[in-house]
Amino acid sequence: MIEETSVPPPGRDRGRTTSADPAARGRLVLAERVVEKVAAQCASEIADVGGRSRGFLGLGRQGDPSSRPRVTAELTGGVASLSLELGVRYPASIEETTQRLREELRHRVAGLTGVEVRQIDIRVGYLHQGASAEERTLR
Amino acid sequence: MRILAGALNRTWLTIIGLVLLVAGAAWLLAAAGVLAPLDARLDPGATPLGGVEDGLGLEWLPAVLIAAAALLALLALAWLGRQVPRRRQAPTLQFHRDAREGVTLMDASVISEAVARDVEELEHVTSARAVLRGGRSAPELTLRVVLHERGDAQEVLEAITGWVLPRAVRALGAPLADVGVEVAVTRQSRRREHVRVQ
Repeated sequence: MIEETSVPPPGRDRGRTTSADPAARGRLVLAERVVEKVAAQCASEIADVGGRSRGFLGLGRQGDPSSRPRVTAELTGGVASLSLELGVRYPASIEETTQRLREELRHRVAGLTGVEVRQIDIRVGYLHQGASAEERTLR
Repeated sequence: MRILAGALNRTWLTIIGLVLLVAGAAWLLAAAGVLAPLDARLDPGATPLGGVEDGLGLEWLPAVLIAAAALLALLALAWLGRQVPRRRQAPTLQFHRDAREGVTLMDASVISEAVARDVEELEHVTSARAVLRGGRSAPELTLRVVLHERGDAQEVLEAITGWVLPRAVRALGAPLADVGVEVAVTRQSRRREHVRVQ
């Protein structure tokens, strides 16, 4: 079931002036998937956080630090609760990394979508020990 | 790595042994006639089981015997079940500060596997397994390291202490309350497809 939420458009009245009330000009409706995609992209941009590769029909999914974490959003009015399944680079501090992710998501998702993020549940599914983004492997 | 029911076995075997020892000693004393002055039925010439046939006719006796046998069978099965080795791995670890903002959870096996992979990166280590026990505030780590016969166990232990454990502590965010390392030696070596040179 697709949940939707109405939010005031972010960045309204930027660079131009209008006399009409924004609510009178129309509505901006966001689906759950939009919030999920935005949150997943924001999470993937956080250092030390990764997702899982897609695999085939859900089989053979492996930890992939360059993938986006899996995000599930639950919308209630203008408030969202997020659930993330992700990987953390080892040996980064799991508590600090996830706390940083939580703060960043709350700030950025609200800024990009206008939806307030209240609760963010995180499940760390794997710890990535491969080469970091700056390292390369010669074959 | 795996925990056996050693203490339970010792306790029950001691209790059963003591009961059998007391019963055997009483039997011997009764047979020697030492207990005859205490009770006439304990005389070697007496027939203490003479009236048993009358008792066997009691209606409630089979039900009581069946119940007692069932109880003994259950106790025996429970004891047998406890013989299965257990890992007693820590449950899901919690990393959140305030659950109202959301929870952060991770299975203990995730970090156990990461630690084991770290150990397997060490020179001459053929394979490694790790088990994390206890809560997140006071975790206990048990390592089983299989080392090639050419390997230096002391060097591997130093590498575990100086490199592997600090990484685990950093990831967990809490000092390890206890660490146990079991080293086994094998002739099999482990070939790697990659080597880190810098």
